[in-house]
Amino acid sequence: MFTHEPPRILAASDHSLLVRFGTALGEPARVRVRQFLHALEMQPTAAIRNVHPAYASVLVSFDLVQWSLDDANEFLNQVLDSVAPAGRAAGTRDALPVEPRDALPPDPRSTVPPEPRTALPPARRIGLPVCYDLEFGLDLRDLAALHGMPVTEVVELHAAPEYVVHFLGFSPGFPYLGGLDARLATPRLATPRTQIPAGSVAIGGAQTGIYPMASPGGWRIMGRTPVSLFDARAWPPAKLRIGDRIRFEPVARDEFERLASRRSTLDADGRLTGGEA
Amino acid sequence: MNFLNVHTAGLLTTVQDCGRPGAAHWGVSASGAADGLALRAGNLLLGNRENTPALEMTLVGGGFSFEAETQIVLAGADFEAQLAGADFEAQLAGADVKPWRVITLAPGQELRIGAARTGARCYLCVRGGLDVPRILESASTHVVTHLGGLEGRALRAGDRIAVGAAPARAPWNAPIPAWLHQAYSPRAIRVTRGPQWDWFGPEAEAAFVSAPYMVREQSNRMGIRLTGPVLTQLTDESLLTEGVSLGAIQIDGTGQPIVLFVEHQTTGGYPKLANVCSVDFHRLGQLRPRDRVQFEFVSFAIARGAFLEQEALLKRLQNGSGT
Repeated sequence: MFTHEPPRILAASDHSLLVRFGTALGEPARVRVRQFLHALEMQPTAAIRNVHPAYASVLVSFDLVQWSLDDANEFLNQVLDSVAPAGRAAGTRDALPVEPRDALPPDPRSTVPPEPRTALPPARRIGLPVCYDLEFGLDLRDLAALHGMPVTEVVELHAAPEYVVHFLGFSPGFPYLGGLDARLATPRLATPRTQIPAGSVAIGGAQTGIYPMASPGGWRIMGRTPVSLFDARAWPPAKLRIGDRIRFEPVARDEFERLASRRSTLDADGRLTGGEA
Repeated sequence: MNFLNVHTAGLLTTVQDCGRPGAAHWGVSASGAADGLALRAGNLLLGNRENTPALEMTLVGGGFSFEAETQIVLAGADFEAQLAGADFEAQLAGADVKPWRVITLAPGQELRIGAARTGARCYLCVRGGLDVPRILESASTHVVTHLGGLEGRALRAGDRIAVGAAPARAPWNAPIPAWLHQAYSPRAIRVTRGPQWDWFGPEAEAAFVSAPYMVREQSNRMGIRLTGPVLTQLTDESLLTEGVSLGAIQIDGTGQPIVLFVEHQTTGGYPKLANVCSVDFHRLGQLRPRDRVQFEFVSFAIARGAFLEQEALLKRLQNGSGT
């Protein structure tokens, strides 16, 4: 049986609390973050202003007129209670009995048996086209040199795994993806770029991610996706969700241009759709 | 229908309201006025709702006129400001326009706003408000990500923005309450302990409030970078990226603080020693490069008490005539 470090709530400011599920990055923490967010969504309250999920924590900021820190703490403890199984001792923050998991549709390529369903909405499997041309992959050559392998191998290693979306953070729609091949882990640039093109797929330390909008940033750029992952005028504005499984599918330059000109994006099932031809 | 015309736009003039909360889980920080107190008070003085979109001007104003008669308030920092043109308003033309006063502009009369005398940001609040498309329920410009406001950008000469319908409530016609001036009088910025305060220990905590910090040139709506006493972490622990709050004081690799401001990243990996209290957020919006800023630790209870007091005073501005 798997046991968890109990969640901890601590004050981050006069108007926010941090709910921590341990201090380690990994699947147990990621799923507990997702469960907690789901439980929060089930108990909407006007006092909460913003919710910031991360690898193993969720920061909740609230309206300081409506709530004191104590009020917020009480509410968040109730939400934690609703995630934990019934019958646990009152006032304790004890462990969940079994390893929580996302429900996933079966992957025909997977040799692992399907996971049991939980109350969480199912996660999605998404194939995301990425063009790894050197013109887009601004740091591909440097990365290959740093790791002593040819550019083709860097691309192969990057496109091989199934990544998981830990959370969206940093800037609009930016997914923090877990599952990078350890051989590709690379420190961030010493001096961040002032402008990274929209759609850039990049490596920062042991993570990989995507810049859906042009922004400053210090991650190493591997390639570019033609798929729009954030549109503030659409609902929901961010196309990726926590728990989504992502595979990067290498495409040639002409296919990139074709998909970009169709304003490709993702539908609610995570399938590629061409917006306007 | 009335329009605002931009003759000159200043350094960084954007449309702002109270911001865009509720989108942090998509990586979108709230943005909104850098001095929310000024924006809200300016709007209430005009009879507007406090969240009505207005112009935020940074260090230098601009030249503006309206196509119909319009009532405005300059809120926040004291910027040089004069009314020009329109001879029939001769008694007002050339006169200084003071902050916090309801001023009536004749059609086409240009309001010329110059450099800041004090502070960094002045709000041109307009009776009826500025009408730009709402993005995720807010008119606020997020400058770094080009979201919201007028086409996601700072204003430039030649821009024309629709003015909304005037509210039913009359503008304020009583003397400006003293508390509004006091809210901007010099004082230490209050902070509470941050989520990683124990990574630094009592020495760093004492050093942080021992002397003022200087605001660096690289400061903007994303973050206010400070130079002063170096704050050293007790351990070489490194932080797993987590959500960050408005006003969080994170300590970078060189031991210097950065105050996360209205357009902050939604998550970050630097440890946070302290967090600016909500009651003093508006003071952050008035800091300019090379200003010196002193911090002071307070308890969470004192922080909330001071905030509730300020909110109660602000609500009184809704009573129109000042009675």
